[in-house]
Amino acid sequence: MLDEYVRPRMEQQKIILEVKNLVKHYAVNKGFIFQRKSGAVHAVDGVSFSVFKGETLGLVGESGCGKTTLGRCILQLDEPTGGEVVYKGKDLVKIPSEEMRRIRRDFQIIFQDPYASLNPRMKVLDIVAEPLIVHKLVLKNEIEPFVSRLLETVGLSSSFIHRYPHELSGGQQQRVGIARALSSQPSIIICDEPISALDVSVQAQVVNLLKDLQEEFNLTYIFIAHDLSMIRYIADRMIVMYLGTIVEIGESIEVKNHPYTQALLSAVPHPNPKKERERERILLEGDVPTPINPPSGCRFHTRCPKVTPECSEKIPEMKEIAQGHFVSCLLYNK
Amino acid sequence: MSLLLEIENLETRFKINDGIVHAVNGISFNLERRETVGIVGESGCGKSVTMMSILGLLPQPPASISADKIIFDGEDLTKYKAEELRNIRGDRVSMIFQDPMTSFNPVLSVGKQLMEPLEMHTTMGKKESVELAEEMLAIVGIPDPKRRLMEYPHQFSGGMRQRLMIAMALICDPELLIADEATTALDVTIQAQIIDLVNRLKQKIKMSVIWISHDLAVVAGIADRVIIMYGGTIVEEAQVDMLYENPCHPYTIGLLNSLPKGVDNEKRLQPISGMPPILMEKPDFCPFKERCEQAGTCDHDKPPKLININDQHRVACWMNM
Repeated sequence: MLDEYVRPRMEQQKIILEVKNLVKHYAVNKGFIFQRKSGAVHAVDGVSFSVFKGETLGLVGESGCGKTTLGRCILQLDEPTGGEVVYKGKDLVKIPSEEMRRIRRDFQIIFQDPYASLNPRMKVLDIVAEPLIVHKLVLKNEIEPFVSRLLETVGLSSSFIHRYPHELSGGQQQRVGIARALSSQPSIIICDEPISALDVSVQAQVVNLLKDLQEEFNLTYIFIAHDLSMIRYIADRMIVMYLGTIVEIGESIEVKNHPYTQALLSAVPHPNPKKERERERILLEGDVPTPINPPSGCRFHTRCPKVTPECSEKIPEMKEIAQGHFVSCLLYNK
Repeated sequence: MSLLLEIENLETRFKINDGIVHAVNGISFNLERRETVGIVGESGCGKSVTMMSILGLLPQPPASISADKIIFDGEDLTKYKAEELRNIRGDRVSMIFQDPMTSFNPVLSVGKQLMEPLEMHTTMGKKESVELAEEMLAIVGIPDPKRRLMEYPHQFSGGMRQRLMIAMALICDPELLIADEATTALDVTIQAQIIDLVNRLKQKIKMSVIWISHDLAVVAGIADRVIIMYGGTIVEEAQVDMLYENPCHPYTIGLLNSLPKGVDNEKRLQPISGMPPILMEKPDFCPFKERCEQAGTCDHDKPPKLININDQHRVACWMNM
């Protein structure tokens, strides 16, 4: 099945990372002293996709759909329960941690909360230089000029070098986070909701910066977000996740076929009051079900506006409805 | 329609170690009965502080609040004592906050917290209170209200907790509901549910709403009138359609431009360069001066006044004078 995902664009583009049937379950324990396993949170349940070199791959879904866990599993920050993450011909899940540490240089992550992800007791210089020291990338006396140049690349004045994180605004803190991610010259950056904590006008600044850096350094982004309007703007391809599984994957503009994607799209408010009033809205009832006991059949059937009796029994397969565009819904399985 | 709230020349300052922060600098606006006003601006523009000043929620000191007029339903709140203000809060004016987790007491059942306003403001008996609380839960769309009332906040999801906040805010039939970034922490799908809920409830309860947000798109779906704040002042105020069709202040235009439009990802977003001002001094010029692309012919020695473009649209910018 995986080959199908990959084939359409394989001729033109090089695959940089492959995720095969990735599973992550967290054990749920009962009892205080004599803990026993009573179940598992199915955070990520059999997810497969490929990432092409130089693209931005969007990862969207509501909170609790497993998008952050997936990102952490790719980086091996959480150990997956099963599946493979293939990078440069090696399965990152299986390689020894010593080797992983060396490879991790190629992967970086930018977090949602810029303040919480910077050590308050470290100066900007030390924060940005840490990956350089850990991976022994730059000679000691070259560190400071190197960091200054990095700060200028992300649009900060090099005078910030001796400041502490609390002296900076949210947008500036996020730029420091980006500079730190760039310092080890990675090839893949996972952006975990990097703009949702920022003001609208600053969001646009950071998004433009990320786009410029991508062009300059030929970076590959895996961009996690719950805001569809921004992600459709940033990402080349997009994965929509629901309760630990992929429901739709394809070119960002084309992704609109799964009933869940449609509901997400219709929930995005439009900055025009007239269009907002006329717009047809699909309101999803209730919340995401608990991933400890995901619904049978299609996991979305409990909230789906187009539900049929079949949906609670049959698990839908990934169906290619156009080149490189897959939907997991019984409506398209016929 | 008659006025519910009238504010004239409200100023709020905070005394901190390094000096004085001028958070709100002389803002004036009105709110009519059954009207929904959206207040939009970036963090630190003074939108929340304005509301908290009106309701007396800021400790004085460090805050110092002055206003020529704060008139709520014909009565001047500036002359009210703290206890008298407390009688209004939660009864005639309610507020919902951004973070539905930290706005609840984690060790009290939600039923107890939900009925607290009734205890404070009415003489209702226990049985009636419980009935009303159950009814409110049903109205805000929480299934199985009898059982849910006994549960604790951590047993509810973020969206459900925000529904509880709304139920609690509305239990005394307020005339004014203030929602401070009420959907910012929620998923887009849950945000759509909450906005839909508030839109339906305001028809039903006939209340006025002040909806504070940093997102122009959210406000478009809920407000009749929009106020744009920047640096502690109102820079533009207009009926909702006019604002989005014909934004006049460069800041409003900048905010609209920094939103992605459609899927045209070849076009770059146009951010507003720079950062919001730090209000350590009362600005004696246009607060947006440093980030404004059109600044040039402006009179930099004094801040622009809000002037009427037409009777439903006001703007404070030298370019429009």
